Amino acid sequence: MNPARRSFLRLATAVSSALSAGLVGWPTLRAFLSPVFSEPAGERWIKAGEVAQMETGVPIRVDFTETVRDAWVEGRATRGIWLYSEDGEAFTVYNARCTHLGCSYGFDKDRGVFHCPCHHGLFDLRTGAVVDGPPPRGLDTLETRVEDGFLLVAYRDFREGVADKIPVT
Amino acid sequence: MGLYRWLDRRLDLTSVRQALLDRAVPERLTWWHTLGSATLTVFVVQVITGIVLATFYSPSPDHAYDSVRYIQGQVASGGLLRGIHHWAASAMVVLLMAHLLRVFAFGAYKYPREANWLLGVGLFVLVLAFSFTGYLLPWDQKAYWATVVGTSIRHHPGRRRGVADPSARRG
Repeated sequence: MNPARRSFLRLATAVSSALSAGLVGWPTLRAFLSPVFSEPAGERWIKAGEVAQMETGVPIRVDFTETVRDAWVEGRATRGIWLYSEDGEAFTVYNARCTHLGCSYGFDKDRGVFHCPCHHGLFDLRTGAVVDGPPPRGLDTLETRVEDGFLLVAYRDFREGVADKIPVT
Repeated sequence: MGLYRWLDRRLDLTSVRQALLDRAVPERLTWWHTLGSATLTVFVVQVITGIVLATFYSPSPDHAYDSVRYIQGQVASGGLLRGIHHWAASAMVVLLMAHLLRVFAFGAYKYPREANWLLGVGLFVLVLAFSFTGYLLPWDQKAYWATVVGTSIRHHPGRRRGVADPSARRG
């Protein structure tokens, strides 16, 4: 066979093989790796209540439900927050999941601390700092905003059991 | 080139390449002779895209349709990936049929290739079975009724007795 023809055919084979492999390979690889690059759900602004109606000096528990999507499955989940204000103006809001293993904690009126019943983690009311027990970090504070007399809270969850406050979906 | 030589010493890549690309072939080969490797290529495409689709698909009557919609709309390149799998499935049946006719027309089933022919017929039936089961996976109306029709052929009265027997008719 003519050498020019041979090298042309060789090149044509290589190029067309690479092209077809890429055409199939690229979307395949992209789809396969897509979960790695998916973004966390981020914060959801929820209406926690009317500022004027809120009690001061004691923490208030607010529960709400939200729609949770996991791929094509849609479900409802109950979430919670703890609100605390001393003057009715500045609010401290905590995610109601314990930072240790995600249990729902309560407020111990006698001792004036948040108490998690699972492993007896204790948190300070004003700062959320760990007073006692196994939690690796203080309570997760959430961003707040007042709009038309209502307190809005940017709800989001954080990874449990670690010292750093890392957002999760 | 150093890496190639390292791999070649261990995997003997050169002889693989020679067997695939530098093989001496008979004269008077035509495009018709490429149908077999074309079918093989499409089969490889089906395996690769199928594995990735399977990681997102849910094989249950409750979730099958929704998971296909999810692949189609939410997964990055999911629509393209599923499109490739869908069209390559059809292409495979077409290529296989053409290949079968080519082998028959050229008399390539004769001695010493009878075993190849029998093996090929077996693979042909397998591909049709794959194509039938793959068609029902989206579990939409078309898939459902195609499956009803397909599985009903099994119950067709004419098939079992050789003559139509209305009393044996079922759903």
